[in-house]
Amino acid sequence: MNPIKHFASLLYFAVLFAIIAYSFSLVTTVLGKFFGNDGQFIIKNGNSTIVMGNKTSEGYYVPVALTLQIPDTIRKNQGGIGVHAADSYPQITRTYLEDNKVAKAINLYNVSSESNRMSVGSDGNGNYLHKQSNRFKFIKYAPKGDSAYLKMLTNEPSTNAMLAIREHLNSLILILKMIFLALILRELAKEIYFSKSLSTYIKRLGYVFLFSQLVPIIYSFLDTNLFGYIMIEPQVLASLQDVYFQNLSVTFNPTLDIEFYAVLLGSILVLLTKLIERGRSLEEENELTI
Amino acid sequence: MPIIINLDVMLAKRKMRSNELAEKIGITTANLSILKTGKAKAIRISTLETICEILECQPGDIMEYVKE
Repeated sequence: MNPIKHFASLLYFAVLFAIIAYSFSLVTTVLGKFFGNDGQFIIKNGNSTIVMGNKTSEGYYVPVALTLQIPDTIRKNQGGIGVHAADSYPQITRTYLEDNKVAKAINLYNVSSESNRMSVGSDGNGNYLHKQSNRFKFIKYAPKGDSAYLKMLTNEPSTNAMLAIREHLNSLILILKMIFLALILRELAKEIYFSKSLSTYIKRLGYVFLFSQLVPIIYSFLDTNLFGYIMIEPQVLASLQDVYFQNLSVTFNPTLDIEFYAVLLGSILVLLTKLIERGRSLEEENELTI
Repeated sequence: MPIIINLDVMLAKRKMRSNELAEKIGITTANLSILKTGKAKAIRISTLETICEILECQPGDIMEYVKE
């Protein structure tokens, strides 16, 4: 058997398995919202516990950029808390927050947004809980990898629905990408390299990649209009005996969560179909030359 | 296509069967059928040369241009 054919068949079945597993996870997440315990299915098996789905009460992920704002009065001492910046405010990374205990400080801060000033208290786990009848029901700093996110739930059902659609839309796009990848692999396993269907699947995969990056652009406008800048300001607490934490504030700005490699890949795939079309035409011409 | 292939006519004149010609030229009967039905996009000079040699004819006897 041709090694390419063998490898493509193997990948095809691997992708099929991934589609089934991911679809199952998506269905479980959706079902968990209706039938689960706070959006989750918790299965206990002896000592191990399997949790499926996300907590409904914690809301949905919104990509943000974090900026630490340091008052001029303490800027001269910023080296002491690990901040090294000249004139601009530095970006905070997860490591920076963990290393400098600022994460703890954030958990004790007040939260306000540009349009609607509000007071939000925190529980012991770093989750913000609303005290007044206000816009945010829940807000929490939730980094994923190198990206910063806020998990938020608002009192407006329409806003919550919009945030939920983004999460499910991303999952559906991922499933769509895997389906087209599986179809491409199936064609390759047949050892048909210049077929019309292969070119169609590659073109569709390219468009899905491009569309997947259009979603964050649309949502970045919506996020900015809905939430604006979310500022976490120092809250004077007797338990926090650290002058820096009492004076620092952190701003969360909704940001464009775009992956340029996906735009590049999408464009390359769409252009690649032109090459396949040319190859198909040459192959056809060659086959019909007697 | 304005080029008409008259291979059938020449085969009938020479009382030769398609598969016999295909075998002598060294192509498959499927390819000869593509040529006969006018589906072929191109014909190699070497193939034309062999056909003319076997059927003892000129290229013009096999192919004809007809205005559409």
